[in-house]
Amino acid sequence: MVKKKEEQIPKYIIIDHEADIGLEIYGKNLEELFINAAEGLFHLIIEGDDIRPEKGKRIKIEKDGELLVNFLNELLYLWDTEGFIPKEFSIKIEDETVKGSVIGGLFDPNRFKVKQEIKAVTYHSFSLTEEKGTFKARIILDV
Amino acid sequence: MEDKEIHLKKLDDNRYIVKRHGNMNVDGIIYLNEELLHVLGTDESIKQVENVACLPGIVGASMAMPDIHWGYGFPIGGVAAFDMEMGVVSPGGVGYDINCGVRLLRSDLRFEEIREKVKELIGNLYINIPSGVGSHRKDLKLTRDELKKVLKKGARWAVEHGFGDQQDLEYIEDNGQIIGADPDCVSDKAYERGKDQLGTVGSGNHFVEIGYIKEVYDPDTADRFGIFKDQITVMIHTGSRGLGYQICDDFIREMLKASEKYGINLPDRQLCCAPIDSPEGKRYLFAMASAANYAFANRQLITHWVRETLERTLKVGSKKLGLSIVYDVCHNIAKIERHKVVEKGKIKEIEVCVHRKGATRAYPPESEVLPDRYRKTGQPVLIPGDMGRASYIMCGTKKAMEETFGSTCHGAGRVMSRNQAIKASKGRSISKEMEDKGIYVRAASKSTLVEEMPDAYKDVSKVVQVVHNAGISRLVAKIIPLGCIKG
Repeated sequence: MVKKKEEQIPKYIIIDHEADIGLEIYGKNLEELFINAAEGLFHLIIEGDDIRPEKGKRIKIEKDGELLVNFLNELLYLWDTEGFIPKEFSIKIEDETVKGSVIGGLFDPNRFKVKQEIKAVTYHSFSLTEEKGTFKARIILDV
Repeated sequence: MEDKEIHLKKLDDNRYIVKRHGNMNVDGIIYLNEELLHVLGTDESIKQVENVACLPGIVGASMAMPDIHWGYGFPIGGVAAFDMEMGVVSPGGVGYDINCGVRLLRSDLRFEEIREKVKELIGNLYINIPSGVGSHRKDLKLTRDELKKVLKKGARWAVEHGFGDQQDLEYIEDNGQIIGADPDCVSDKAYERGKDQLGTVGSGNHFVEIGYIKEVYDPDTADRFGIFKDQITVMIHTGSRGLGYQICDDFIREMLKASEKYGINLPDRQLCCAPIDSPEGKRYLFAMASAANYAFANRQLITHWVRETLERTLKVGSKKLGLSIVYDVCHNIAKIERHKVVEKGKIKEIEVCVHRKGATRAYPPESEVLPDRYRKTGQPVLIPGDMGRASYIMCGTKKAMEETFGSTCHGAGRVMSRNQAIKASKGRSISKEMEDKGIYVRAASKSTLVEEMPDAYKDVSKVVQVVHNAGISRLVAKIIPLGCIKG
């Protein structure tokens, strides 16, 4: 397991499994949890952190199944069609909708290495809970 | 684990049964021997076989092949058939990579003739066929209208545009075109993802591999398949790329709502589904067929570039090369097929929707859907192994029709997680190890190479032995890899 620590609570932990990969994600609020999930997802996809603020995207995703799964699959879509790598989010989650914007860079083979293809974020064993002010989610990815 | 110990019982040397209990509508049958059961360890896949057995309208048994491993919702290696009136269709029972499949090309070349050229061939295949994450083709960007034609016509579209010839279509499951595809059921996002990924291999376990026939087990059948010892073969393993992933994601959202609407109790949300006959079920099948056709066209285009690369590199004409398709099989698909089922003690032949998620169709001799050449032998079944050991050519059997809705295994199945593989490869050069074995690998990403190293997989030879011994397919020949390109 690979751990990334920020103070006491890690941003995310990679769940390692024979066929697929998952993430256990933490956040002090839903917004932070969503941003940490995006960071975890792209940590699995690419190597290299020189993400330049090249492009801005407006985000409005409504809940259709699970909001976190919808949000991450939207980021996978932008990655697959444009090579977009998110860097800075400014998002608000209200009424089961994520709204806001994200600034990010575009994939450049000179600055990044692709680690693996993530086909999708699945609903298998999905969970999102809150305990003592900490939000925790679990997602399984299809690779 | 507890469930597994309580309910899993040995049926014979090659099969285990999970007796119907709890909410299961049918038994679970898993094709496994003791050795492979041991490899399965604490894997949750047995529980997933049970979960599938709980879905409405399932007929026969919830089955899994010996390459079974933990999936999401359905297990990988799973086979489940559903009654057309009472049953359901589930996008999770097909998977994200719709019509991921394998195509095998045979040649008139012998290993000796190209021994010194393998490295160059692999290098040129790597240049001519885009592979890797998000691989795109700069020379083939399709308009929406053209893409719609691909989704409707499948491999036929490719042949009509000069990629291959008419005869190729005969040797593809469903002739490379699933009838009933409706491109209007495909979302804008799926089109966007699909527009420049046609003709690309993708990443992960997908590949184009040059190999040779090391051993022939059944000379008569091999002869009908056009296979002989020391013959050079090319295997292509890829699917419907981002277009398929998007369609699956789109419909899982829709099916989550549909499951609620139709009051279907889901043991796992990834099993979400809708009645086959419902508007949601039909739309999924129309969209899935569209993605399946995209995948057939994808493998057809890659076949064209494989032919071109071999002709140019070896400086021989297409006739001398003789690169023709042995067969092309889907291993992630749902299909409407006719099968015999036992109902109230009587055998009846009915139409069912067979889900094969990491399983291959294995039709027997005399099947009407097979080309004349294979009517006497049964369908060629193609089982790829890992990049370092072997792949197998098998043949469909009558017993598969009787026991498994005409299905068998699809590959090796992982034993190591990706991180375990990375750890196990520390201080090693996988590409050097492969080269020492005489296998040249070009991979777009170094991590793919590590994650895909042979030790990360079960030995495919043990998997095919189980289906052979169980009689649901027969061994015909063994292929040894010489080199491959990977994502």
